Amino acid sequence: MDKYFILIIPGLIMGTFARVHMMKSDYRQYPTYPRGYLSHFTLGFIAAGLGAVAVPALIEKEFSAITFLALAAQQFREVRSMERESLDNIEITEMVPRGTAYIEDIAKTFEARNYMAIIVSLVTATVIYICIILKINRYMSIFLGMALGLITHIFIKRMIHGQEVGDIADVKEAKITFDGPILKINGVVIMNVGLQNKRDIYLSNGLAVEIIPKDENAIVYLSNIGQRQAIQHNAANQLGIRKDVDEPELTPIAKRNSENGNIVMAITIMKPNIDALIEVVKGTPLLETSKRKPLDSVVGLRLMRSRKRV
Amino acid sequence: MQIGLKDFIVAVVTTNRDMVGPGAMAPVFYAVDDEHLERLSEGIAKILNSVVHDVGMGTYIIVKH
Repeated sequence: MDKYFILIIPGLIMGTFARVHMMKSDYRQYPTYPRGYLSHFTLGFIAAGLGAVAVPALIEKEFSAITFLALAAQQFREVRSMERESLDNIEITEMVPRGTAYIEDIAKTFEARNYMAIIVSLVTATVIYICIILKINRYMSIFLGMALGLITHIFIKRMIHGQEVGDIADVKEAKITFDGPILKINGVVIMNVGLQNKRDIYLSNGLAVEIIPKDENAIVYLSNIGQRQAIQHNAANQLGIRKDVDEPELTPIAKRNSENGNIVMAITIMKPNIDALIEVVKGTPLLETSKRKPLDSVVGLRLMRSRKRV
Repeated sequence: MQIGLKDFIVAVVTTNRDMVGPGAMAPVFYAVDDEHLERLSEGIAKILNSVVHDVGMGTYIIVKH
């Protein structure tokens, strides 16, 4: 049994490291609380353990051990529903809700990170085993295994790192105007604000941006209501919205200019700074669930070809 | 889960009696002038966490969104 520890321990370390490395605490503040860290660290450790133990099990021809991986997959699907449920539960306490699409995206990310821990530890253990078969020095094998595990981690990290709004669209400052009670941004009607003092807040503390998609794919991407909700949530969360629960007219609304697919959004902020708002909007992650690629469809490709010919 | 009314006119505040007919679903408040109209509708909107919309001709509707 001892001979397998050389496979299991480095695999376990690399898998756990991969999970811990993905636990960053940034503006999302999720899961920054120590309890959140601990539960995800433990799950990551278990995932890494499963990946690392799979290799010795196969060497010993314990093929039934592979069913544990299926069990693990089931377990990590639980992680997804756990995250979804907890975010759903706190949704009503958010000033500007995340929206179901954003929640789903976060939950999926958490699930995927556990799979990453399994894969990294599996790769590490496999490489070490292959090196030992090839009669490479023991320390060298561990080093090679860990190096390849690290490369796998970096590769998967790059792969699952999604795009941001700034990658597919330009974000520019827009102008808030009132036509009587009608709030308009660059001429697009947003909403009817009845009270004069609320209009004054929009004029003094309000900022607006216009998000201009770079291509047809981006137009469809940004038309998704979940994506727009995510942008609103991020902007409100990071810049400090000037609003309380009894002022629903100050809730940020992102509307679509149905002529050209541009998105306009107005938000009231305590200390308005347009550069910060543009940066936040650009940095909002693009949700997997809102991703569409109409240009890759048969019709889209035909349209592209005919456009090139012209 | 929260259950409540959505997209519903909870009250109408007006200075123009001709704008609202009898038998309306929502309560109607008559204001004496424009300042009273603003004050009244803001007060009702605050109580009900709803939004004031100006539909013109001296009439505001208060809508729960």
